[in-house]
Amino acid sequence: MMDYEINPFQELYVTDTPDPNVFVQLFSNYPVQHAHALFRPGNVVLKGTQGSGKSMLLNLFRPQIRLAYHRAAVPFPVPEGLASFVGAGINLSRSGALDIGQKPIDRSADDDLRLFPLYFADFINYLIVSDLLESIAIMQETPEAFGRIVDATNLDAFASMLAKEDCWFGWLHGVSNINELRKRIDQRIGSYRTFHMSNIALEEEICRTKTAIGEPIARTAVCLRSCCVLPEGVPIFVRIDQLERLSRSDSIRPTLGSFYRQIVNKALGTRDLRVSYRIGTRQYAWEDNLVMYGSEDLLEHLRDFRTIDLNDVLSKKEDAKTWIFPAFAEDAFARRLKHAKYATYKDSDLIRVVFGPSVSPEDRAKEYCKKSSPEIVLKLESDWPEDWKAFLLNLCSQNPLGAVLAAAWARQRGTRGRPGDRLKAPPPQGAPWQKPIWRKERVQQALTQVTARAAQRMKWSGKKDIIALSSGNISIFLSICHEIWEAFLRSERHKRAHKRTDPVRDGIGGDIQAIAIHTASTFWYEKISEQRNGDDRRRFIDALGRQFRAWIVKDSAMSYPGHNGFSLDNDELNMCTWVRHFLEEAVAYGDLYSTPHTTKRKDRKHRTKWYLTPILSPVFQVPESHVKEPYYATPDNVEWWLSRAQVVFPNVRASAGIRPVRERSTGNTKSNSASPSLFDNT
Amino acid sequence: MYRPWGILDWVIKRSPPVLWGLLGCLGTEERSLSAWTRLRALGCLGDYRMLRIADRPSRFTQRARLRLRERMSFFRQNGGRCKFLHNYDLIDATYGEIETGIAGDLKNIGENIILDVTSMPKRFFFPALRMCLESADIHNLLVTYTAAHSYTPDKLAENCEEWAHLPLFSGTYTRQASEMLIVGVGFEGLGLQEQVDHSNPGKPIKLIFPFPSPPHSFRRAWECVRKLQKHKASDVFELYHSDYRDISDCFDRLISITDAGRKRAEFAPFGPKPISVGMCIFATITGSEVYYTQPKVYHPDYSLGVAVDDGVPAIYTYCIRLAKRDLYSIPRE
Repeated sequence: MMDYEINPFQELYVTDTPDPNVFVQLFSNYPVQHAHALFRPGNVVLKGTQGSGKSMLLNLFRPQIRLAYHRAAVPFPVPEGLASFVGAGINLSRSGALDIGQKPIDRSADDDLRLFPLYFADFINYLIVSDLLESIAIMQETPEAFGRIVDATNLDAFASMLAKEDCWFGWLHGVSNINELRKRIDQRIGSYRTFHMSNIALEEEICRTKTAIGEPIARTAVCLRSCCVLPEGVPIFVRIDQLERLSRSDSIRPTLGSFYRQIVNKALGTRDLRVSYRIGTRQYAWEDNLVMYGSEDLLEHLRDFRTIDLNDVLSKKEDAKTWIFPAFAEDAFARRLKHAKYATYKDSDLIRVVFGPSVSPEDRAKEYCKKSSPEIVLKLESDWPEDWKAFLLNLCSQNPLGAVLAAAWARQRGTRGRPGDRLKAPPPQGAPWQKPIWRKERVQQALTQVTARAAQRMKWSGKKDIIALSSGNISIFLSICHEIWEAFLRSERHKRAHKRTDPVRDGIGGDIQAIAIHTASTFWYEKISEQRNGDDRRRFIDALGRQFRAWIVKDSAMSYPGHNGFSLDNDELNMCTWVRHFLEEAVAYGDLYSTPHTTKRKDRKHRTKWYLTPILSPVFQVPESHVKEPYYATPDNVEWWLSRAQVVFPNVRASAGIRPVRERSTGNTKSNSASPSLFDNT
Repeated sequence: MYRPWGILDWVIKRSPPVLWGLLGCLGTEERSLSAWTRLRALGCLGDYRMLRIADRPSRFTQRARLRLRERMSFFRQNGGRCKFLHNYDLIDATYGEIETGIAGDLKNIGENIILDVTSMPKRFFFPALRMCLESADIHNLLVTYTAAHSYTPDKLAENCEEWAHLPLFSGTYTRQASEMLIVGVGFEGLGLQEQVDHSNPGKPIKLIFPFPSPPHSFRRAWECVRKLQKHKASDVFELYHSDYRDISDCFDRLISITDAGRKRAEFAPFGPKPISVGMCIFATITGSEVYYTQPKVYHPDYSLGVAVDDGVPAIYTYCIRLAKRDLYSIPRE
């Protein structure tokens, strides 16, 4: 008998920042197949919302991961022709790079503002070179894991050659071997860290020897090849993840963050073939600032960098055959079961085996209406003609969904008529409410209305629903699986061994799934406030979710089944920078989902549609599917929702002047008369 | 080592007969002025400086203003001098501004110092305490923390920043990765869940759980632990108890967990202030990294009233340095 205490999805994010050994077992190579550009020379920007798998892909550049594949005797998931490379990188938040600018270095504040970006460039140069040397050291220790591309015999000669390069301005003077080189580089990084931890001034020599962004990294690459430590043609990839921390973070002053971002841009903009950069960033954050430091030139797409948008790669396309996410999810699912040592009886379509097919809308409607009378389900007004009433009440007792759709059809005016016209004639033959397109667009709205009237909770279960709620995000998919398995294990624990269900053979019941999916939805809803500025966004999502629910439920004629989303004119939105930023942040953190909207309006203006991310649908009890036209909103509407959510606007902040003054030169409490402080009149 | 601590009156009676310089924080909470008030009543308050720290504008700004007016009114009526108040912005104040400001304050309040961490955000009291510990000019150093009568049942804080180290706590540079994350567990772990879920699997997470503690705090802390453990194998976590009021207990616990600092640890102080103080002292001595998700907004009624212990305000006072002797140090073989 299998071990029922194991939830194969216990460690939800194991593939995000992995333990190398577990990573090897659980990493699904599906995204790699669609991101080959990541392993070819040239700069690549990898975009995606949180949980989309960016870090997972970027982790493949870490030699520790490569080593783990070798030790586990599992083939490295990168195609053989692209697998010879050296990876290095930095973590912007943990490295201390964002500390630069927090303390004055020079005597004058003006000079500091000018010089901070140069110190930032210098610091990340040293960090990346340090990590590159660490990668070489790891590759040298176990050469067989890396195709023996590192030749360690010339490392001291390499160190000596590199130290003589003029890009260091003498900092490495006298270095003659690899150990001295690493020690000297570490010393510089340590000096920066010490400076930011104490009141010791930054060494004068560092101030005199600031390096230009990217140059020491490129020179290191050249020296590695010149000294035959690396063969010609082996690319060096430098990864910088979480770039959005430079442009959309409060831990760094906006002006400074913008300069730092420009420094990174400059590294990409040199079109230096010696090194290729891999930038990880959230949706939208990349386009914030493409200016290169020290110039007005902008980075150019395809010339300076290529982009891989994971959301785009994994999202559903018009042609479902090109949608790779279901296969990706299937692979990830199978790997989890295998890792947890669950015996599987089939090799394919395990998700369907375990979770079953989704319930048909007709059966769902019957389930929702089980305890409610047709009168309650249909909620017909008193002035409805008797023939219609009799027809619908009769239909409802057999096919509640059909009856609710028929009632909605009758409430509509049709293409030429007026409201109520259809009720003047008897119920038509041929059931026009069953026409495929009309019906398809309204089925989910009808089910929502049924649950509202019957005081039931909407249910999601089965493979199709689970994939739909996951919306191309593997973390969401795994968390749904986690909750379902937890609920399943809870329901089984009280049973005797011989009565227990084998989930991989017999599947997990729909009711258990429905409860667990609601729990998963609540988890993602609560998670919103775990993220930066998340409380404001959560209240906004609350306001929006309630609004969508009201629109969908109250629209008894089902004229607007697409009003579980809204659409904004891009030009109008661009005029409201702060609203745009807020919405983009919500997308970047995975609270909202946006997509270009082909408008039906005559003006043909470019618009964008915005929806709740599907996993939030169970919490707000709105359909997760997106059909027909969304609500045509204006930025004013969004501002109204924001105000209902008690989100404070920046313009309100400025006019209210509630920003406190920072100056404290005399020790007195000072306030700027033009902008009274929080402490005024206190 | 015996490290005295107790109610303020008790500690002051047994401390050197000096006038104490106070560095505190005047905030929206009633308890923010308790130590200042009591020291005046005991006749041993020398110079003082109070920080006033402004949250980001938010839905709570008006209520926060009201509370601050009440505190200011009390402060003035009791002889407080506004020129000793120094304003800062909670998020936008740079490390340089915090460091320079606090250094100036410490210089002005003398060599016998009480650091009142009661209402001082971690972003400020961590660097302040570090600077005190690293200053050879300070002869006697006490830390005070006033317990509240109750806390708001609502969320204590909102809109956290990303996981980042606290000012002056980026840690000594080394290529060696830390071996564990030590988390002080509190009422809430705003932003902590995200970090725990995404932190390196295999790296142990040690939870410092405040116990004994009052029943309502105990319940909220357990709920926090339950959530933290939701998506990780349970063997990743180890739970350690530490009295929520006892800095010394926490410090000794950290010595034990890290094998007297030989195992490199990083810290996440989300628990009660005294436990955070213990972490701060330990991280200062060992050059460890301390991470936090700084909220931008605190609830204006974060706490209500002041707890009473044996008929006097529960102002817990901890001796950190006495007669130039540091009571908190790590034993080395």
